[in-house]
Formats: sequence, C-alpha cells, structure tokens
Amino acid sequence: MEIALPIVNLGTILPQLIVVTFAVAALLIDAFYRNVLSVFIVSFLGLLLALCAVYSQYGVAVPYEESMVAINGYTVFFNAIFILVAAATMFISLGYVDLTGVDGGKYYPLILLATLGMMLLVSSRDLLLMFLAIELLSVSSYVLVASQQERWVSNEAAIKYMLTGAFASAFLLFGIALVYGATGAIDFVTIGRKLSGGQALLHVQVGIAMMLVGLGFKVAMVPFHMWAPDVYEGAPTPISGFLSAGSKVAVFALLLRLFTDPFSVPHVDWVSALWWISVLSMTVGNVSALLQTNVKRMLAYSSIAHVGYMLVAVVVLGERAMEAALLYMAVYATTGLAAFGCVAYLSKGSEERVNMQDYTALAYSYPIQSAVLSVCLLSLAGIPLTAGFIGKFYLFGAAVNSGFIGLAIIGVLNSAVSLYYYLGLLLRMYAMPEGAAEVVMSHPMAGRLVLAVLGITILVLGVYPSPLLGVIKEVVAAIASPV
Amino acid sequence: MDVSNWPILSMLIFLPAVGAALIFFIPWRGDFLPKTLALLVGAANLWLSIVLFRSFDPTSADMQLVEKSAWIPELGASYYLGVDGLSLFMVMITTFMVPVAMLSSWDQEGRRQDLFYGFLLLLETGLIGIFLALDLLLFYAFWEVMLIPMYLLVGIWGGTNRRYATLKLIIYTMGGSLLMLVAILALYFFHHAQAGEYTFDITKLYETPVPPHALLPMGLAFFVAFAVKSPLFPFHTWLPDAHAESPMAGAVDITGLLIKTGAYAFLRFLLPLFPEFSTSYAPVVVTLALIANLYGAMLATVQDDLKRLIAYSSVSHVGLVILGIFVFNVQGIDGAVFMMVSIALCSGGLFMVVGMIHKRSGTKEISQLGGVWKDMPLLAGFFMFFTIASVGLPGLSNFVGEFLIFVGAFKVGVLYGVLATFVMVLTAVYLLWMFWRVMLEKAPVRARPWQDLSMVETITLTIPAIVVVVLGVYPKILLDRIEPSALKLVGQVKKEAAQMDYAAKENSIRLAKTERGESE
Repeated sequence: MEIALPIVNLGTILPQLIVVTFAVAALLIDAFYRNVLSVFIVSFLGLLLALCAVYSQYGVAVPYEESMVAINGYTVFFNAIFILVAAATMFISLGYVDLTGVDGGKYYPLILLATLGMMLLVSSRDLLLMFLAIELLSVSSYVLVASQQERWVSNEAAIKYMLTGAFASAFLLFGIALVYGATGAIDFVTIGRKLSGGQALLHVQVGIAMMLVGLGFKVAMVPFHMWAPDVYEGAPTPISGFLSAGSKVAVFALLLRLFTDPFSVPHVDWVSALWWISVLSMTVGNVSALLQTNVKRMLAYSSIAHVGYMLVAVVVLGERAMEAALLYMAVYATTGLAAFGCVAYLSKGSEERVNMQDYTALAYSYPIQSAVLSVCLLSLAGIPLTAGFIGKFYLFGAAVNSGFIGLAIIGVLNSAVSLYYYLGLLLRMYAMPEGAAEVVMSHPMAGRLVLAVLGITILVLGVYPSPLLGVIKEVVAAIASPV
Repeated sequence: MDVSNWPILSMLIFLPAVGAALIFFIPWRGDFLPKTLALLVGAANLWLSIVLFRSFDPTSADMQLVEKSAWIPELGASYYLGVDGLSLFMVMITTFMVPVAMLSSWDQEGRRQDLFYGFLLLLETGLIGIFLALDLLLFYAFWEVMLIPMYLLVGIWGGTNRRYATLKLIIYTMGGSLLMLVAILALYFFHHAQAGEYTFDITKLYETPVPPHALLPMGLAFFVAFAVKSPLFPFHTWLPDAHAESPMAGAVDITGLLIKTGAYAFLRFLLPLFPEFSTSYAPVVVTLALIANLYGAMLATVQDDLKRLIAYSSVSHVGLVILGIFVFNVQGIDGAVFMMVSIALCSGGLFMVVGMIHKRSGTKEISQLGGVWKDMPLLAGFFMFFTIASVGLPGLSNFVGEFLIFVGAFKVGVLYGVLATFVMVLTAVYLLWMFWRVMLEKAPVRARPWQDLSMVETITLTIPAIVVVVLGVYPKILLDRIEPSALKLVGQVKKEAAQMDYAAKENSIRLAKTERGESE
C-alpha cells in the first residue's frame, strides 16, 4: 500500500515550529538542569523568535486551499497578539512563581504550549486541526491552573476546569461529527461551499448548535459561564490573566471565523440566538460582578460581560464588525492581562490581595501598580481616552450601522452598570489611608515595567488609535476581498 | 510678546493637564510647593484666557481662532477647536473661578492636598475642552473624562456619605451620556449616508437632516444627557447629594457649578443639531424648566443643610437658564449665557462663605448656627453681598441675566414670564430667610467667639465680588460678544424649523392629494 506524504511547506508553520521546539527544549533543560532562570530565558527566546517569524509573514498570504495552516492578515494579527500576551504573562509571573511555590520549570514551557494551541487555532483550516488545537490549549491550561500544588483552591479550580472543559470538548466533537456527516468535508472552504449551495440540513444546524455549546464553554459565554469565576479565582493570578487575555481571545477569534467562513450561510438562522447570548452575557456578567467582594471573581465576571460585548460583532458580522472585533480583542487582551497582572503584583508576600477591603488606600503604597490598575479599570469601563472606549465605540458603531440599535443600547446601558464596580474599586484604591501606611513589598522590576508598558499602551491606544486601526483595516480588507 | 500665532485654545486646554502631571509625577515633599504650582498654573491659564478675550473679534458670529487637525482619520474624527460668543465666557469664567477655588481651599485641612490640587487642574482641562471642542467625538471624550477627577475629588476628600453621592453622580451622568453616544453614532452614519463622508465635525453635522422616525429618540438621547448634567428637573436628584458630600472648602462646589456644561451643550449641540426636535418639544422643556425653577426654590426653602440649600437654589437657577435657552430669541439666549456666568460667581461665593463658616463651626446646619454676624462682621458682609446678588438685586450681575431671560420669556408667552417672575419672589424668600437664620438669629452658646476672615479669605471673596459688581453695572462687555453668536444660533434654529414646517406642509399636501386621488 502506498502512502502519499503530503507536501509540507515548513515556512508557513515556522512560528509554530519555533514555539514547539523551544517549549520542548525548555522542558528538557528543566529535566536535566532544573534551572528555572534558564528555562525562562529559553522560553522567552522562543517567543521572541516566533514573533520575528510572525512578523516576516506579514503581507504573505497562503490561502486555506493550499495549506492546512493558513497565513493571512488575520492569523498574523492574532499570532502576534498571542505571542505578546504569552511573553507579558511570563514576565508578570516572574516574581509570582518564586513567591507562591509554582514549579517554574514546567510552568513556562506550558505557557508556550498553550500559546502554540492558540496559534494553531486561528490558523487552522479544518475542523480536525481546530479540535486538536483547542485540546492542546485546554490541556495546557488545566495544568497551568493547577500549578500551585500547595493551594487547594488551585487544584479545585483545575478539576472544575478540566471536568467542564472535557464536557465542552465532547459537545464540540459531536458537533464536528454532525457537520462532517452532513457535508462530507472537514475543511472550512468545502463546508462553506456545500452549505451555500442548498438549504441547511437539520443535522448541520444541530451540529452548529453543539459546536456553539462547546466553544461557548471555552469562551465562557452565558449560559456556559459557570466555571469561569471559580477557575479565575483559583488559578495563579497571572494565569487568570493569560486565560482571559489569551485563550478566550483565541477561541473567540475562531468563533468569529467559523461564522464568516464555513457557517456564513447558516448564520442567518443564528442571529437571534447569538443576540440573546450576547445580551445575556453582558447583563449576567455585569450584574454578577456588582455583587462580588473578591477582586479576581469580579474581574472574571467582567470578562464574561466583555465576551458579551465581543459577541455583538458575531451578531452583526460584516467588514466593520470584523474591524471592531479585532480592535476589541486586541484591546481586551491588553487590558485583561494588565488588570490581573496588577492584582498579582499587589500581593502581600505570598498571600494575594483578593478582597475589596484589602485595596483600600493601596495607591499610596504601590503607586505604579495602582495607577496601571486604575487605567485598566477605566478602560474596561469604556471611559474615553482609554483603549476600551475606542473598542466599545467601534463595536457599538458597527451595531448601529447595521441596524442593531437595540443591541447597542443594551450594550451602553450595561457599560453604565459596570461603572459601579470598576469605579468603586478605583475609588477604594485612592481612599486616604487611615493609620500608618503598611510596609511596602518590593516586586520584581521587570514585571512592574511590563505592567507600566501595558498601562501606557492602553492610554496611547485611547488617545491615538490610528496606527492600530490602520493595521486592522488593512487586515480586514485583505481577508474580505477574496470572499 | 507676540501671541497672535500661539495655538491659544490648545494651550488653554493642556496647560492645566501639564500642571497636573507635574504635581502627580514629581515626588514633592509637603503640600506647599505643589499647591503653589497649581495656583500659578491656574493664574497662567487665566492670563491666557485674557489674551483670548483680547484677540476675540466681538463683531463676528463665526468660530474664531480655529485649530483643526486630523485626530483619528480612520474614523473621521478631528482635533477641532474654536471659540465663539457662546463659549468665550464659559472658558473665561472657568479659568477665573479655578484659581479662586484654589485660594478658597488654601488652608483646607486634610491629607494629600497636592493630589487635590492636581485633580482640580485636570477638571479644568476637561471643562475647557468641553467648551472649545467642535468635534463631537472630542467633545464626548472631554465630557466623560471630566467626570473622573470630579468623582475622585468628591470621593476621596468628601463627607461621610461620599461613596453613595459619588456613585450616584457618576452613574446618573455617565448613564445619561452613554445613550447620547448611540445617538452620536446614528447621526454619524446618517451623515455618511447622505454626504458620503465619515465625520464628527459639528459644523458639517449641523447640516445633516435627521430622518423623522429617528428624530425623537436621537433628540431625546441628547436631551437627557444634557438635562442630567445641567441638571434639569426631574434629573436633578444627584446634585444635592454631590454638593452636600463634597469637601467642605468649597473648591469642588465651585467647579461643580461649572458643570453647567449641560446648559452650554444645549446651546452648542442640541439646538443646532436638532432644530426640529428643539422647537417642537420646546413647550415640554419650558414646562420642565419652570417646574425646576419653582420646585428648586420650594425645596431650598425647607433645607436645613446650607450646602443643600444652595444646591437646590442652583437647580432653580438652572431652570431659569434653560427657560432662556428654549424661548429661542436673542434676549433669552443672551440672558442664559450671562446667567451661567453669574451663577458661577454668586453661588460660588456663597459656597465659599459656607465653607469658611464650616471651618470655624464644624457644621453646615442652619439650626446649629445663628448670630454669626456678631462674631464675624466681615464674613457676614460678604455673605450678605452674595445673598442679595443671588436674589437679583439690580446693579449686580444676576439681575441682568434674569431680566434678559424674563424679557425673552414674555416675548414668547406672558404666562411663562409671569410664572418665572413669581419664582423670583420665592428666591428672595428662601435666600433672605437663610441669611436671617444664619447671621441674625439668637446664637447658641459658644465656647469662644470665632475668628473673622483671614487675609487670604478676604482676598478670595473680594475678587469675585468685584466681578459681580462690574458685570452688574456694565454687562455690555459680555453681551456685545454673546449677541452675534446668539443671533446666529436663533437664525439657525428658526430657519431650519421653518424649513421643516414647509416640508411637513408639502408632505401633507401631497398626502391629501394622493388620498383624494384614491377616493376619486
């Protein structure tokens, strides 16, 4: 029997190859030398090289027909975001890992592997690779969540995450099987062509529903969001940020692509369902966040609300909505990561500050972290001159432009609700200290620097978003034109 | 110094922000240096606004000293600033009152006064930005961002119930303006659909006709946003709380008075952008304004807390201002702008005096006070002066504004004029009664007499008092410059409204014709 080997153009998967090579190398270094710093350096180097490789792919186009891993503006844009998020997470973890007894030797390579999953996810052209990428991402995340072995909440969170995650994967797989059964194809292009031909079959619709459930679990949209607060609370804080900035954005980028590419025709039948999911996610997320006294849980619920906002783009679809979604995800990745990073960097020794009360008057002891966290909160609330405002503005603009006025109105009303908890925390941090100021913990310089850079980025994007908007317009125009 | 080539509007906006940044980022020792720096920046900005005043051409109704450059070209937003007769004095009163407010808080006690002054400067940046922005997105940015320093000022240094007050303030005002954001977006896309261009430039958006089905919701969204901030009855409930809980020394209250940005925004945005909406719903708005005028005065009468009393009196005055705006004639609008300037001065003076009383007595409750005149004749004199100025004594500034508004109201409907003048009587009642209770009534036993005004305090109160007299005696300085812009605005509103009537008539004729055609 003859087996035809597929022709593989290694150039197209160069960034992914670099990441996986360095991840394995870092794991081997850990196995033989057990030196966390060198593991960190090797992992970081891998990300740096991968970023260069991604950058070299800018402007290159390898369409889905030609390769299992595509290259276009969309993949380049997101790959760059994932790598940057991973690198920032590593820096933020730097001090945290030592303090909280995480085994850094496994931790950093796992971040790389999760990043690889995200990168493959946005570049995949068929359902199979997509599923594998999601699993790679999920399994790495389960372990990362559990990486504080001493803390039982961390383990509890990991188990919860794994059980719901496995459940979601089953749904996803079943959905994939149904779509495959109906269309006889697993690649997006063929599925799209088959579905555009005739009436959508019942099993395709059921398949899409199942996939939506599966992916909905992964991005934590209502009503599949129950796991998120527990997991974000239990996970090591930099990982909470990584999950909300990285894996959520990655799965969401895929969701957006599924509805623009293979399922663009059945999308019509899903508008009202997606509309409701979007509204519910915003509302449930914001209202639940109002009731939290734990900052990590509050940020988790706020991230659910933000998924609701992002879903506006999936409801609306079209060039403007795509631009809005890309912008929003970039902004959210920056902000979410920085917010959790600040929480990690406001710890008292090995003990994290998670209760709202613990944040009283912190601004006078930790000015940098507090300032960055304030910027993040303002950006999450969508106050002008921060990146969050531009993102929301663009997103609701897309909705208004396509006639989804109701959705835009519900969105802005939700933003008004969210002001309560974001600005409440902000005010608490700047409240006047009573009694003597506490002894200030010194946190690693590198991480604080990264946080400051993220904070400044949020402000700069809010005041002068033109360069990023230019890139996004280019990316969207390039992927929209062949279709 | 040749100032003609300076980008003076940008300087006015950003000088306070630079000052605030210096205060925040330099690790100062003690409060004195940053406070002095803030005062100097405030004074420099006042000087800049005087330069602006001198280079302002009083005969022109157009936007002057325009600065325009691309800001976010992808969205069509521009950095577009300009000043006309409506905004000139809003800017000037802001730059004038901010240093006065700083002086009034000069010996306020409390921690981290440097931050307090920094936030005051940031607030000034936001306020001037609102008055000068001619691009809707830029305006919106300043409009919302300004609330953050306001929020922190009340939230950090405020009274015991500050958390509730600040959250109420922020959720009311921001919630109101978020709906406006949707309307701004809708307007932006309508303009694109008609003119094929994405822009937030308001001079271009003025020309955009809004389709009839969208007129009511869009106009309403703008209206509510501005009405909340003004605040117009029934959206006013946040204001007394915010004033009652704000820090005692009065600085924040004064800048709070400048939050009459709402009334300004009616003039700059609602009227010219939605003339049809404004004219057709004017009776409703005028009714609300009259209710606010009466209701504010009645509530002010029964307050025991001095700050709440002044806050309700400012609700009442705002009702009058909005009445002046929505009668759509030159007198009304002149009067409204004049009145806004005057309220900031008179009520600002009252707030400062109340702050000074509080510093000595530790209370702002009228029932705890009494007989203050005996201890502090100088303070009592100033209190008297600002009280009767607020009542509207001829020869002082409030009188001019009120008079013009009444003239405007009488021209439109005698009933409006009569009702508004009637409230004047109530105003006199509650203000003079307040004065009597605080200053003259028998004093409770006090451990020791209170110190009269210090040097700084006397200066702080004298400066606005002089301006009140000057404006009252010679209002022409303001009115000459306001009038051309007011005329232009009235023309804009009336012309477009007339066109709308015409179009409506034409439409109804056509409808009638088709109906007849069908029936035949």
